[in-house]
Amino acid sequence: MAVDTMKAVRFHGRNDLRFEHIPEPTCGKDQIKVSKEANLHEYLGGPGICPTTPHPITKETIPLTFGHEFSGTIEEIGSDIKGDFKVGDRVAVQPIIYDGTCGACKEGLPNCCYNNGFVGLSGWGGGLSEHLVVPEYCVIKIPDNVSLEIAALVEPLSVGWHAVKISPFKPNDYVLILGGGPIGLSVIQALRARGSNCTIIVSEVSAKRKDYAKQFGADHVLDPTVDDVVARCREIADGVGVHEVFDCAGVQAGLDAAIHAVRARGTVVNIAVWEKACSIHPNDVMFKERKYLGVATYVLGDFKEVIDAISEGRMKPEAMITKRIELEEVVEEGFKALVKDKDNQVKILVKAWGGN
Amino acid sequence: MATTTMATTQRAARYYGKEDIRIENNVPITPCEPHQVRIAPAFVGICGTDLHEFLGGPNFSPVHPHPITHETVPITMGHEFSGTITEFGDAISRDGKKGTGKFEGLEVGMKVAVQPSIYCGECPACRSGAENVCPNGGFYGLSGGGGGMSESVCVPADAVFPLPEHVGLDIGALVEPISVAWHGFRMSPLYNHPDPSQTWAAILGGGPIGLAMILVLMAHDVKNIIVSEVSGIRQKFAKDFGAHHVIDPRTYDLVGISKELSGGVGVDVAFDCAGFQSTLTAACNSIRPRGTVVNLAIWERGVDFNPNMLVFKEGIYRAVLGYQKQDFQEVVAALEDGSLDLGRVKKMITKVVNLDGLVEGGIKGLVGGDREKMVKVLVNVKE
Ligand SMILES: [Zn+2]
Ligand SMILES: [Zn+2]
Ligand SMILES: [Zn+2]
Repeated sequence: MAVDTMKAVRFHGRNDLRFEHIPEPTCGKDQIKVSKEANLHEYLGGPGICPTTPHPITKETIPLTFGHEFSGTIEEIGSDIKGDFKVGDRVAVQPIIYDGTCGACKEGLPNCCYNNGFVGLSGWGGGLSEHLVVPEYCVIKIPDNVSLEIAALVEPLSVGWHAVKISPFKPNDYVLILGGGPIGLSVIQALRARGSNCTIIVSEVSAKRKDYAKQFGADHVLDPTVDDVVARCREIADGVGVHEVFDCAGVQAGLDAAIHAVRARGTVVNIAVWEKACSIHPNDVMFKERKYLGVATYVLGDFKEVIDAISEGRMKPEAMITKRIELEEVVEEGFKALVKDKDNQVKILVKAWGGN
Repeated sequence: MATTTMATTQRAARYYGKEDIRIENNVPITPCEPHQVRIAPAFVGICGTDLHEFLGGPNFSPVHPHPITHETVPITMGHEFSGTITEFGDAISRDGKKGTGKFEGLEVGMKVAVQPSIYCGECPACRSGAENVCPNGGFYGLSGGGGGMSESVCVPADAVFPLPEHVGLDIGALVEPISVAWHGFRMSPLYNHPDPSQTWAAILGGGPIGLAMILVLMAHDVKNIIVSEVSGIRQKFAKDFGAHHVIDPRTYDLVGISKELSGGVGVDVAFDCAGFQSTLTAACNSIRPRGTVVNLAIWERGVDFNPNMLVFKEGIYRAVLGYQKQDFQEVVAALEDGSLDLGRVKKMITKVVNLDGLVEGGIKGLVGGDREKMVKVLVNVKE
């Protein structure tokens, strides 16, 4: 049987993304084949996460098809799939890869799997192609009133949702968010969607992102190059500081501010993945009995909750899509825009397939 | 309550500054305020903070008037102490209720442990029930207000805890350091855990607080305790105190061992009682997914920290400070009901000196060559 080819954007190494024609995957018995709509994620820094030696679960190495934030339409269903799916169903794809056997998985924390990976980063194809096949657990149906475009935003929104959910956040808290990029905006939306009257303070440098932060519901937007973030947080928050900080930036200056902006027994929630180690003074954490909590992506269940929040109108993420391009344009247009025009872009949507 | 005529001066150990501690005979005796009781101290523990102040202070001791005590050095030393109640104030409680001449549950002559905390009661931390992190706070024996290394000190009546009949005043001086460990434990997810016997805990550092933590964990029925400690003498203490696994981190990898022993996941809680770059990193890496690191150490400087250590396992790093009234109450109750093993608690006392021996026999012994052999050195004030 002749193998069909399809268009895909693959990661070959740091700063080396290529638009290529690769064999189209076939749908195994326990898999679902999806054609998609994807989202460009900022990963030009050279993801340390893309395996250069075979990934323990996918056994794949670079080149790998890129794209882990995407939605699509079911085009084929493996014969062993028991779930309620039919061809044509519109779905969001939850891209986590986990082994199901390690200590973390046994605890019900596949997001912390010792061997974890992501569709679109670690193998199994990716969103920036015309087709891919994934296991059943990756596929989550979306209601009629949620478009495929919006469904491609469910992944980044789930990151913020999960972080808020496992943090000690309570509805009337004062919250500081470091960074007004896509994850910062997803935290704002998660806080608002949970019906809270919290006071949201965002610290962000870029003018455009400040506007977005306001638009999505920030009460105060500070500029760390101008404002004394710690002092302003104290001023705004009862004179003592915020209850929680969500660090979506992952830089030393931000962490220093975060630790001092949080009140006694408050919590710094770190969502950012750090490129290198930073430094802390544990006494700064100690003298106020502060907490530092790391959060990782999302667990099964978060996608559904985000989809429900969108469907019920508690979350309106449309404005996060700042540009739309075709798959052929990804290498030239998409990543260039994310690099050169970073401040003006939140999410660039890639149409990988005509069907919508 | 008025009392019979008393001496107006007393003998006390006074901290003046770096390497300058004086035993003086003419230290004024302060009046007993309405909300206070007067204590005749019996035993006083020498603590790491005292050593730091002696070697390189004043760090903690006030050189500018303390916001609550208004005192500056010299100050009377001793914050880990027990003693006997000798006098009541007017029995007016802190909230200003009318005096009755008696504090409920207290009698003159009772032996008590003292919680030396000083806090303002008005700031946001105090008002939210975290008076141990009061920014104006301090300690009797470090911040003014008198201290345990004296003949007479007045403290609030709600800061004294009567000792059970069978618990001696020497053990009473250990209630404070044990409360530090107890508080760290209480702030961890092991407190109120449905089945502590199935949990795993690692303790990094086998100094006094690390050893006290072993006793606290055992008091809560934690049956899997790993202690990581470099000193051979302290390793032996850790075993004697009841740790189930004691390792030398120079030879064995705590992270690997924690994971292996706990069935491939890592420990539920790692208590950092040492405060080094290596212990912080090992603690963060030895916890299970969603596990917790509790820091009890005071740090000399900042450290490298890679948040990814916690991100990928959704770990928590939290730091605790001091203790609260609840900790003292629970420690005394645990001494009473025997869940804190008295025999082992007593092993914490490795030396007793008198007030004249404070510097030569006490403090210098804790910084000299015999340091590792010492867990707690007590000063017997009455001798
Ligand atoms: Zn796993
Ligand atoms: Zn102490
Ligand atoms: Zn206070």
